[in-house]
Amino acid sequence: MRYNDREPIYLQIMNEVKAQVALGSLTPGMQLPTIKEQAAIMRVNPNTIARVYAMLEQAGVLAKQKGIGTFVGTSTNLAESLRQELAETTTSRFVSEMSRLGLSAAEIQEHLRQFLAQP
Amino acid sequence: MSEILAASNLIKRYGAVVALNGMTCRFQRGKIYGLLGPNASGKTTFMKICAALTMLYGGQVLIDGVRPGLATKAKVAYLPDGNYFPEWMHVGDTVEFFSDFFADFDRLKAEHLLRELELEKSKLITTLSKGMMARLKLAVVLSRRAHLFLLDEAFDGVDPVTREKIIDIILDTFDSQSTIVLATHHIDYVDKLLDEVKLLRRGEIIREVAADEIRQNTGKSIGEYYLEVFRHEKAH
Repeated sequence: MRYNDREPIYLQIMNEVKAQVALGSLTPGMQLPTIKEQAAIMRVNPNTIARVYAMLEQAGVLAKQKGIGTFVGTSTNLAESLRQELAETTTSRFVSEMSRLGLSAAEIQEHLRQFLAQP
Repeated sequence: MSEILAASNLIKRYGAVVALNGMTCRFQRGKIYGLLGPNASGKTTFMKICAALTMLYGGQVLIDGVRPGLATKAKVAYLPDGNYFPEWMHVGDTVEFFSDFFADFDRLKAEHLLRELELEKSKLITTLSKGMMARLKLAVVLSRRAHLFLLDEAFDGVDPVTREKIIDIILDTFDSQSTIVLATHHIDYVDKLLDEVKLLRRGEIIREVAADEIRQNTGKSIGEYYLEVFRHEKAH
């Protein structure tokens, strides 16, 4: 994984795991690597991974089974709700970039409409 | 989380030169720290005191509640900047040397790391390139089952491929009971390993911040943050 040096590493990894669940490369019930293994794979501090796992457990994306390991959550619509969440984040980033350029809501809509209309 | 190292009001002078000027800081178990600062800010002096190589200083250092000395040497693994081994040694001799000196030395791990880092036992120390020497020092120091690892400029002269291998070895060595302190100018090599950054200026700690907190609150990388703090410093 390539990191952005200017954003918290835990957030980037958290979003990556969410994206993998949303896109189905991590499926419900699948076991995740241990914290130590994941840190080695991602070449980051294991405390960062511990933080990510804990936050994703709280959010219901992951579920820890004591003494066994950490697994992808099995609640229904998990992938779909994460996809919605990521879409919203991406849209909000896009809109704030466009607003920074001084564009109004109508202008942003027009840009998007024209862009999507392109062949 | 428990404390492994506490320094309070450390003072060290070399003649008229003040190396440490009231340095105070604490280090917890299970964390990786970046001790960052310009040349002559006191990083090496601090590490030497903790490794019980510099015995005359003002203030106090406690390692697990004990002043640096024979007892703490068994817990502290120090990787010094510059050469370290007697010139007559071959690579293989350094393993014997460490094995004799440190009860916590894991010979099997050392043999494994020498192979991993492509270090030939038959090579004479004096024929090693800078990068090779850096690898050798890391291989033997990280083969100790120490509680506190103090690594002074561990990445000097190291190429990008070796850098990744070294990071893998550091991560493999680190656990919730150990503490690693990295003093380095190569901030971008290690920034994803750090829990916390301590900035040292003219022998005093001026900032102590969690690495992700820097990114979150300033929108800067650790390297950019460092530059912003020290940009206006005069070179020594």
